[in-house]
Amino acid sequence: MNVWQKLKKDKMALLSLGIIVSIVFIGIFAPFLAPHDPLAANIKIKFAKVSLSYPFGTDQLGRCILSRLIYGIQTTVFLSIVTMLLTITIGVLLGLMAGYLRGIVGEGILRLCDVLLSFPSEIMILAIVGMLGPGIGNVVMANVASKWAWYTRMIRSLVLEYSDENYIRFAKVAGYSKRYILCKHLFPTILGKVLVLATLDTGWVILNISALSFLGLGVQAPTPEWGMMLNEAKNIMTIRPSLMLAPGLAILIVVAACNFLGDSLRDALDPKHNQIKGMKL
Amino acid sequence: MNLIEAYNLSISNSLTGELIVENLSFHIKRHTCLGIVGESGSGKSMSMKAILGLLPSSLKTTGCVRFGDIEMIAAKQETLRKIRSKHICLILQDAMTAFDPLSTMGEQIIETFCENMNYTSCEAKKVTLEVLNKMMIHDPLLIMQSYPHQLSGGMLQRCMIGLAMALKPEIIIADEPTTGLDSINQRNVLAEFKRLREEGMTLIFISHDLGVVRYLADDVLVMRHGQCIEYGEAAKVFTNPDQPYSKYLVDTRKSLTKVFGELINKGAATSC
Amino acid sequence: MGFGRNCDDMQRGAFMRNYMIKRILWILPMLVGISFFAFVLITLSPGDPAEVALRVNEIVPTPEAIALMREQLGLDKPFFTRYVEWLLAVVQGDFGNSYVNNKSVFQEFIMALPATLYLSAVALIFIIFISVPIGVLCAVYEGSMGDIFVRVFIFLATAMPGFWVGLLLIWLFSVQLGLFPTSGMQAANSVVLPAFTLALTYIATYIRLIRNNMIENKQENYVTYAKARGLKESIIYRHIFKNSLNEVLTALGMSIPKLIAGSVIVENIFAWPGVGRLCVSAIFNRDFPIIQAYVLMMAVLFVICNLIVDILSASLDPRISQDG
Repeated sequence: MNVWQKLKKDKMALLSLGIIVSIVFIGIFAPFLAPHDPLAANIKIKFAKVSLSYPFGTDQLGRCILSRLIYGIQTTVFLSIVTMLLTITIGVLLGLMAGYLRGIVGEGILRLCDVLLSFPSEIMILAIVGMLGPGIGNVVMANVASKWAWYTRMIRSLVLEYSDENYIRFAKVAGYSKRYILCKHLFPTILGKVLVLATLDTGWVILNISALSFLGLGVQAPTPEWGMMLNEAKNIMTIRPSLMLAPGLAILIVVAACNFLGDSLRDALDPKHNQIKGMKL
Repeated sequence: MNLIEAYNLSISNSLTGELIVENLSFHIKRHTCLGIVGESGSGKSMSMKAILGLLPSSLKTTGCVRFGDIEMIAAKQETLRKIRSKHICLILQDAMTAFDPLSTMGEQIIETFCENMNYTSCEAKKVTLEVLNKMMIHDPLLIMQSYPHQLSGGMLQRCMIGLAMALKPEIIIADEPTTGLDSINQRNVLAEFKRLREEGMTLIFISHDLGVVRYLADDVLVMRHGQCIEYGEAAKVFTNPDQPYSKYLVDTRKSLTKVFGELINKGAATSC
Repeated sequence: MGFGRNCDDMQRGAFMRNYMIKRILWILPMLVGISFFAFVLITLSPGDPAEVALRVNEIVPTPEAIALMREQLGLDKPFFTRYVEWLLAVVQGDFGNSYVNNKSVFQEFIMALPATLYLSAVALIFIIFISVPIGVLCAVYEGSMGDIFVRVFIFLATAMPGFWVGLLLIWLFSVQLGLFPTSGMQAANSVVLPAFTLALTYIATYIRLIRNNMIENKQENYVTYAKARGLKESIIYRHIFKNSLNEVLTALGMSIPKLIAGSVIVENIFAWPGVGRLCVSAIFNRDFPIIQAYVLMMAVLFVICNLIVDILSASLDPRISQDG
């Protein structure tokens, strides 16, 4: 039974996948789907109630909350995906190198990872944002920097594990070149596992990026970003607490969907991992 | 008089629907020994754990097992708990993992006595020392202070046997007690069981070692793939088995002993 | 010895001592590495620190002024000389002066530290006293309605952004119910909301860890035998709990530095005057000595906690620590 068939049986996993896909879709087509310009302020209609033209109402500057949420996908979710893609690229490249090319290169990469992993990721991110200054590009870089070592280390151990599998050994004995084995056999196998972990980590990155934006260290106003929106809502909490709901729920739903899908994928790929009932939910 | 009667005992995995043990029926008389033989995975240990209600909830047990007036399969956990150890004592296969690795042997043996025999901890300690002495364990005080990982498998096995004896149950079920022991330890452990038999203890002895079963058992039950292949008096099964599988087992055993005997004789001849 | 104790216990004791010594010696290169990282970080940062220092003091950065400032800050010396000088000063507790108000960084840090430690300690108490009983109950009543409810809570709590939870708590308990102050640390009960916000994710993680660990242990052979010995459920669960505890303690130990580091966001929401808030305002002001001190102190804390946890968990397990 392949992974997709197993996944199809898991209704919650399908729902999570559906949520993620539709959110990405909404994000891509934001200009067509958003009812208003997310930056267009109109102080006359500030704190407008829920209405047909403003489905979620307006904020303290009279901007359409729904439009800001939709455009927020482009910052919060897409930046997280970019972060994960960068992390995976670096991790896979260095991990394959460290695992397949033994000797000084592999050893060097490994030691560097060990040193970096001895820092807690929270400190790492703050250190790098502190060094480069506030800004969303820096936040993405900080997240990549705090995570790549872990991926490199993990991919290396996967390479070592799979190198011992019989079909790889067979390929070696059959005289295929290292590069051929790497591209044709090792890479596809490892990529599947890595994608699972990346799904799980996307939720973590979304939380990080929105938290830093909330602190004002990430996305700068007036760009719509969910964490940033919560920061604005915080200042007017006593007047209009309902503004805190939409961005917070948006983050919660996306992160929950990522976590759930990641867990389900892991179970589908590796049934041994989850023999205890209720391990995930 | 039959101490335990089992009819149509079946065990199935409720998650996969797989049938693990199928329609097993047997009984055991007081002061006799029932040997259960079969290759590993044939469902021997499973059936014994099922009788005592020790299987995980994902495994479903059906059938009827009578112990005196009590129907064991349908009994409540609390009833079973009182039967376990006070009336039916189980000795597990893997002695090395049978004790809590983070408590000393003394603590674990004493808590068992306190629970089942209503001893005070002081009495329990005295009884524990007696038991260990009876099992011919040197320096029982040291053993009581040791953690399980500090003792050998044979020593732990003997502690389990000693514990079972001291609880004075009506029946002891020994689940492959000699597996995983080296031959010297095997011999010592077997000697303990022989002594138990001579004292009149009722025994169910599970093993894949035919020689051991022959040494101890009055009746033999041969199992394969969760089914009963042959069930009868030990003497008959070993000398004149009905079924091809038991015949195969006995013959294999015979030919192995024959080769062994020849080798020994040869060795004796050459060394002369 | 025959039936006696395994003879390799002596070796195990020696192994333990060797392990400890190695583990402690490994700290030294780690600390050097960390300090180097913290130093390089600031050296590599874009922008001339001298210019920044002038600008925040509202002095027009003319070339002469910058040159003077560079000399004052010791920026004209070679890289390694600066590193060694800086390291020697740091060891003596001298992290230099803040670019912003020219106060001693060490002083500022020490002033803010107690607030952060207090907040983390209260959070830790919340974590332990909430997650241990709930985790144990979930394992005991596995599959019950309560267990399912807690699992849904765990799932949501790990997906909720901590700062959002903080805001909702402020709104509910401070604005609406008026039970706790919204910010600051003047009132005696003002620690409750920030500590709970900080603890929430960890509570979820630990309930899950304890629950799953105990359920895993339930399937061990020693539990089957404990049942076969006729032990009461309560005694069996005591054994299971004891066996699950080691991993939980290890994880908890590692969480302490993470709690302290994670307080950055919470301190900013609740205007808690700790090191996290100090660090974030330093990032806005480009006040590098403070950022440097923060990173260095936190990393050192992390390494030391790591060491203590390793040694503790090894000595808690008789399989590792018992001498023959």
